[in-house]
Amino acid sequence: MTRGICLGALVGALLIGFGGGARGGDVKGKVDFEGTAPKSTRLMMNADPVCMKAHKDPVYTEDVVVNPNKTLKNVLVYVKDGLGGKKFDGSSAAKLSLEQKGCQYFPHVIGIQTGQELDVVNDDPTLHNVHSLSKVNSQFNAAQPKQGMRLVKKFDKAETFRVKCEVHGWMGAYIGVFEHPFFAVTGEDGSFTIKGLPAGEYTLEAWHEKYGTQTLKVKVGGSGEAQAKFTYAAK
Amino acid sequence: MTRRASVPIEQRSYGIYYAVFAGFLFLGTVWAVVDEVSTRRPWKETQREYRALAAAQLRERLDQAHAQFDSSAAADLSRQLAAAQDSMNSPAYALLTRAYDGVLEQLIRENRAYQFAKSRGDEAYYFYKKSVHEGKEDPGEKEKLTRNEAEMAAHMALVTRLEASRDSIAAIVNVYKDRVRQAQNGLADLRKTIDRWEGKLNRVESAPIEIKQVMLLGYDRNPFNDPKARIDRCQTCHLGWNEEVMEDAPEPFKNHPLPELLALHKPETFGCTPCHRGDGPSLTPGGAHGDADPYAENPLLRGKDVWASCNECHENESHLDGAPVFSSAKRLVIESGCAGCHEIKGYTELPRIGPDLGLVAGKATPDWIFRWVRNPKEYNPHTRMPNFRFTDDQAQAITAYLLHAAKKDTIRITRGAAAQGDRERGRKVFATVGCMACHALGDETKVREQRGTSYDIAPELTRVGSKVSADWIYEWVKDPRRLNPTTKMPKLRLTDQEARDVAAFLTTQRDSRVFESMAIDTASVTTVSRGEGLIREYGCAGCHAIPGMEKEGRVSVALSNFGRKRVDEMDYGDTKVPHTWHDWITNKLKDSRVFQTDRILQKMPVFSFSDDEIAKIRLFLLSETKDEPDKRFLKPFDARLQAIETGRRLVYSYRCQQCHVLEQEGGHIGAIIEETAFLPPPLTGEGKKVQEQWLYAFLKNPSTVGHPDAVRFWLNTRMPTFSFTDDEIGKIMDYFLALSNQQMAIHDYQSFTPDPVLLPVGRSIFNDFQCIKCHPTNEKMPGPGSAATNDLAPNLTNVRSRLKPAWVVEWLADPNKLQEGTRMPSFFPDGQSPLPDVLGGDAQKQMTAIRDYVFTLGGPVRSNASVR
Repeated sequence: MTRGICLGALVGALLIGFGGGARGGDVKGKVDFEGTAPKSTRLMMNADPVCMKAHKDPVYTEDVVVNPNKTLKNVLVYVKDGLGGKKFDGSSAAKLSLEQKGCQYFPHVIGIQTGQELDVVNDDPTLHNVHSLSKVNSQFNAAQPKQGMRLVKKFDKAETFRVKCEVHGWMGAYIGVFEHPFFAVTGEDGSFTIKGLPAGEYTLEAWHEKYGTQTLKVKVGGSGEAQAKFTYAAK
Repeated sequence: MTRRASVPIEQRSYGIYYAVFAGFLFLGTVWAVVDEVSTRRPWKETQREYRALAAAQLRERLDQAHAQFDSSAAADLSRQLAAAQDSMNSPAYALLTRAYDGVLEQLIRENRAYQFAKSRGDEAYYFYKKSVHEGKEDPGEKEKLTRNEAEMAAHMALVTRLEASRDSIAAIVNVYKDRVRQAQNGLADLRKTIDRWEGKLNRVESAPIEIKQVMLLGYDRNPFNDPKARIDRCQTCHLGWNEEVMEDAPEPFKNHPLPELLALHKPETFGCTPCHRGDGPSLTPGGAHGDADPYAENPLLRGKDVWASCNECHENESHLDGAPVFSSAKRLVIESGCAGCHEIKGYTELPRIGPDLGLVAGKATPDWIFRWVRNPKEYNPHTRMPNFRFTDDQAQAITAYLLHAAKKDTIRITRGAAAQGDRERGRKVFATVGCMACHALGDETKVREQRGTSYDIAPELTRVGSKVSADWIYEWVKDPRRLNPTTKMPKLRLTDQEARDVAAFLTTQRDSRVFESMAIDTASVTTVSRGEGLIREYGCAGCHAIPGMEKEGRVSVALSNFGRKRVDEMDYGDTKVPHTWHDWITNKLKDSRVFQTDRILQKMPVFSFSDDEIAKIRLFLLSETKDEPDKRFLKPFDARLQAIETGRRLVYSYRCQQCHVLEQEGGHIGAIIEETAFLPPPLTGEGKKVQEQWLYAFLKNPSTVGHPDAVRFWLNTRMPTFSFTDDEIGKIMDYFLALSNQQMAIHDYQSFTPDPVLLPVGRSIFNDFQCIKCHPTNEKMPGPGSAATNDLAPNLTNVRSRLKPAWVVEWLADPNKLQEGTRMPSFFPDGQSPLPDVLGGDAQKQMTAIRDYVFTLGGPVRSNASVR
């Protein structure tokens, strides 16, 4: 049985890596930010002493995080169009994790494949609940009253939605579900890499919780890397 | 060559003629057969096409299933199976089975021996007893009895031993058998998808080419009113309606988009035509759909029109779950007041939709009334009142009559009562207490947009300052029923100062346009009587109570069979509108005077329906037929459905759904309230949830603002006081209960006693789950520095006097099931408890314990009077 799963994973990895035989490449890029970053609001966690105690330094909202190198963090970049009818099975992809720590979600934005497992963990000694505000996938809303509680979830349809904690109103994260493995989230340097795209032309879309979406076309050749650059402006 | 005539008749040969004509006959027969079997049966080709298409789709699925088949696991299992089967052929197993059979044989023997000994013992017992009764105890029988009893015991001991050894051998045999079974089951599991598609494929490929017919005996009636069967052969061509793989297939093979409706109306027995109409027995698309015949009696309903046929069986219901188009069409007809002028079956008892005009003199100025009568859309483009296109003269005469006939003893408005109102405070009150759930004002039209209607359900207030005085507004908002006992507007329990502030704010909302003043001559008898004539002629009393017009009937035609009205019965005037039913009604609803000619005058006023609304009203009219299937096919309109429909209409008339979600409709105020925590509660499942006594008290007097026992005392939006009568409350309660499938019964909820064992456990779970993080209770109210009110959940101190005990447990088990999208998380996902050490990890017991504890919150038992 285990052998079967390993074999499946291997075949899956091969399929993803080579797009069914065609050679491909990576898309690398950056999400720039123009203008002055909006002032982030300090989060007041005094509703729950546990949350308050978890932080020595002040905590700020994460809806717009501009990195020191003038790039935008937490932008979800993904292939929107161009894969044709190819199907990808996410059930063999590695399990992802969404942590609740210090009454904040880590990571704040997460990309996941359909069928891939998401492990939602409560690291705080207080009550959290994860409420998915999904429209296409069925909603879940589970309480985790004890530290260390876990909940494993899978999604079957492509959709980007918010998850929130109803106990702590400031706690929110976003989950983007895709039917393929070609997505990435920008980090501390605003860069992203989408790996192993089969050769071809694609529409890339960048999504940001506050600034919305942008698209651009990208061509992945037989070898090497394709470049993509998005720019968001302050509003 | 001899001339034919010269050959004697007897010798002439007709063979060639016979051959030729026989040939014709033969060809004719062949043609007749081909024509009958194939040409005239195009459905056969259609079925072949379906077979090819479906088989291809299914084969694709099957190939996929094969590709996903875990062959290494299957090989493992096959090996296991072979090994298990081999082991059953081993000498050891043979020995086992032999031993088992041997034991079994012995067991049978011993059992028989035991039974014989018992019979002998019984016989001896009888004779021994007999001898005792006869007074001469027979020692021989006594001895026989004792001997047989000893024998029985010996046999029984052996039986017990044999049974034990039989069971132990069987256990070993079962290990062998289980191994085989497990491997077989595992293989079957692996092959499940493959088998499923294979089965479907086989069924499709081996399906005979034949007419698929459903017969509904006695469904219809012939012109002599005798029962008549309905023949429905649609599924002869529409073969894929129930096949999921045909989702993207072309017609007629596509699967049905609403399987949930088909589960209630099974096409296998109910056919297709009861919903889709069309000619059931016909086997060509032209004939069945009615496209080939412009005079087809029962053409197919296309697009959204298909919802019109719901009415054939569901005439008495104005809302159907799963048929939102149908429900909103009915709602639209009710709200637009169609039944004021037209007789529509089932809608004759509706209340008038317009205000009582006996009170108009004390409210608006003659100038305002005149302009309103002439064209109401000028003052308020979203009013439900249609435009009668009256001339100035006509409008003046009508105004004169209204002022003349108005009640003279209208309620006195104290002058200056509204002085010292604060505009800004008023604006805030107006925006928060809930006025905007019904009234649009200026740019604030989100509720209307969410509602999706072209009209408002209450007057827009953008220009209200030019219509009524501050003093009138003050009196009105304080208690609308005092000024107009029949108004639907509820009381929001404004304080005098709040009412003054609102009046001050609303008087700033004025019409910026300047209008010429019109002299209205109320003294002229001719003008007044002309006005009276016009009011009667145009049927104003259909929507308004008007003094002197109390007994007016409906001025226009009955619509009860409008859906069956023929094209040749409709008048198209001078227009070039295509002569079809749909075109006539669409154009009529767009402009009701469109078919007017110089000789034929039309009086129906002009509405401003949106295209979507026109389509819905058209659908409603299409549904207005006298067709009704035989009673056996109808779901009886029983007491429960009657209670629901009665309550539903009451709820419509009080606009409850502007704020509350009920029967999946409403909650429109959500468009202007951002925080979910501040929304009025959805009322889905309310009958199951709240105690009857609490609901009665709450509806009687919902005043809860600032009361610590209120459910969410921090809310700014107020549940209005509707001043319901007891009868109305009864109807609402019956409605809620019926929706929840419950019966009205008297329960003594107050004497609910918590289980003394569970109570402390409940308390500790309550603390473990940290319920208090969101739910305020008496012991821990949110104070400064605690959660913001938008993170709070309902107050639990009044649970005992408010909620039904059974509901609380059901709620804890799965909140989202009872209220979709609720913020309350599930603490028992999939019925599993996160606390395995409490009450043996029994989720049901834990929920009961929490419930029992929650029912003790809020101190000693209160009487209902405390729920203010």
